[in-house]
Amino acid sequence: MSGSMIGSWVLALGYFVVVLFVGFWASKKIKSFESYIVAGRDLGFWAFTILVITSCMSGMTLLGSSGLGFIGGWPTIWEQMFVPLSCAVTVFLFGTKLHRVAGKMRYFTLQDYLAHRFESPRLLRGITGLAVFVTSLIYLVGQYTAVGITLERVLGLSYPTAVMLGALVVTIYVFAGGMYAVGWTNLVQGGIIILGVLFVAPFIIMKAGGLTHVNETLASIDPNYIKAAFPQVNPPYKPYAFMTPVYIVSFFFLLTFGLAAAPHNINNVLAARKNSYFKWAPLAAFGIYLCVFYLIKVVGFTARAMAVDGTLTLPQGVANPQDFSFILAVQSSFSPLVWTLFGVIVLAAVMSTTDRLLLTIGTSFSWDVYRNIINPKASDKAVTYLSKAVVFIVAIISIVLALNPPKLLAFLIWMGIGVMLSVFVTPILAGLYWKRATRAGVVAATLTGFFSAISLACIDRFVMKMPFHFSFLSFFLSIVTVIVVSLLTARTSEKVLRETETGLWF
Amino acid sequence: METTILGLPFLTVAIVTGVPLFIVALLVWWGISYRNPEEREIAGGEGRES
Repeated sequence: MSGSMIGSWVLALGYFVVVLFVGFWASKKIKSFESYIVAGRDLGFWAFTILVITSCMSGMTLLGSSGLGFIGGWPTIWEQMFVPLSCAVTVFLFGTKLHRVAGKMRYFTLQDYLAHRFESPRLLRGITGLAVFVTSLIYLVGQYTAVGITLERVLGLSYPTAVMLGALVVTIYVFAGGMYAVGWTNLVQGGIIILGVLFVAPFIIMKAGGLTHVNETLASIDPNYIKAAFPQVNPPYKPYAFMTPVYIVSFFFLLTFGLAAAPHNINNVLAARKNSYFKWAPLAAFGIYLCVFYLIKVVGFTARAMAVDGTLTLPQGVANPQDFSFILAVQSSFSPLVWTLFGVIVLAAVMSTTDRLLLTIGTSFSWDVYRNIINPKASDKAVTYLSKAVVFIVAIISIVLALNPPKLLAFLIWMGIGVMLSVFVTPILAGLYWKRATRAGVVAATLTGFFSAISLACIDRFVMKMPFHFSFLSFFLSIVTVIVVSLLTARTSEKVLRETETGLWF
Repeated sequence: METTILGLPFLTVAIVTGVPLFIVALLVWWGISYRNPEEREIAGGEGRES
């Protein structure tokens, strides 16, 4: 084993030891189901804010975003604004009222709120629970695939060993420490991602000849690469030129609202200690994420310029070679020992999302399905044990799937985000801010959103390419459905509307 | 010839910096204007609105 490989192992093992230590330390605070699932509603301002960022910033985001910059240039920069904005939207638009009502009514999950607000303890809970399971599992497989790709290169491990090593560490601390462990390890992981990207990105850009050189090189490939959007033509004049003005509008809804309502993101608001955090957490989350995410994208542009200059070559014979752009840019700009740091950054990004996904699926099954639908008399202790068992089982299922990633994984991930936009946003917004929204309206909207999103995704992929992201249409259909069906059906009781503080205010 | 900053057209620079700054301004406004339940109680029950 070479000296640099030993250094890689020391750094990676050091990182594993730190997160496991933090996870076990946090597990000592687990005294009840409430502490396991929502960290006793006791996360401080920074633990909460960083959790909101890191749940959203995944390894897939990090590799995929720079990869999108590599193939699409500056027109893809909108992603860098919309994703951080989704963190702010989670907190101020959805979270502010949800946190206040959840504390009062003792909700553990978003489904608790929806079941109460729409007087649907089983049906709506069951439908949204199923959507949580499907979308979170797709996401999990994507994450483990990213960790496999990274550890394979950084630690010289085989792909299966890399996937299992990354998954094992996360599963252990989520199993032991639940939401407390997720919250505190995310603080450490968030620090690593933020400082790591702020450290490596400027060096890569300088080493490649500076931003002006990068932009001039991009413009020499395609003059539209340095514009804010590609021309509005359908079909696009090149496969990469899909980020047109109309597509950008649909992208805004998809990322800003779809990710904000993703179960593994929105449930974080239930763990904050004080409602006063909701004043400045949106700004802090947006500002920090924006800086880091802009740099990640610019590294993608830089990698493209390096490829033109001949200092970087993408791998051949892999599914999405552009997703290697960040890894390769770091590799060609730093000494082997320093470039190992990047492996730890990706690991931190992957783990900070997978831990939240695992816990979300565990809670969804044990609390929403088992306790509230199958066995309402189950004790808190039994539900906590079941939650841990589900975390373990789901980890194994997702590892098996990641070892043989579906050929259409990227398509499934984008479909998953589209489903989240079409299924969760309408019930949450209608529930929080529109008194007239009814159970029938929301059940109809949820089903419409779910099935139309999947159908439209398949049409877009296999039949006819749409000029916008398919979820734009399914989201619109779910909004129309909730309005029409709600106005035709009986109102929700005044008591419930009062308890849930429903109305057009924050 | 078109004016460029760091090799980018002026309009691109204006968009990629202006949109985030606009969002920051909105979030600052939110931080200043949102009153949590404790602050509302201190203010003497002036209604639920932020």
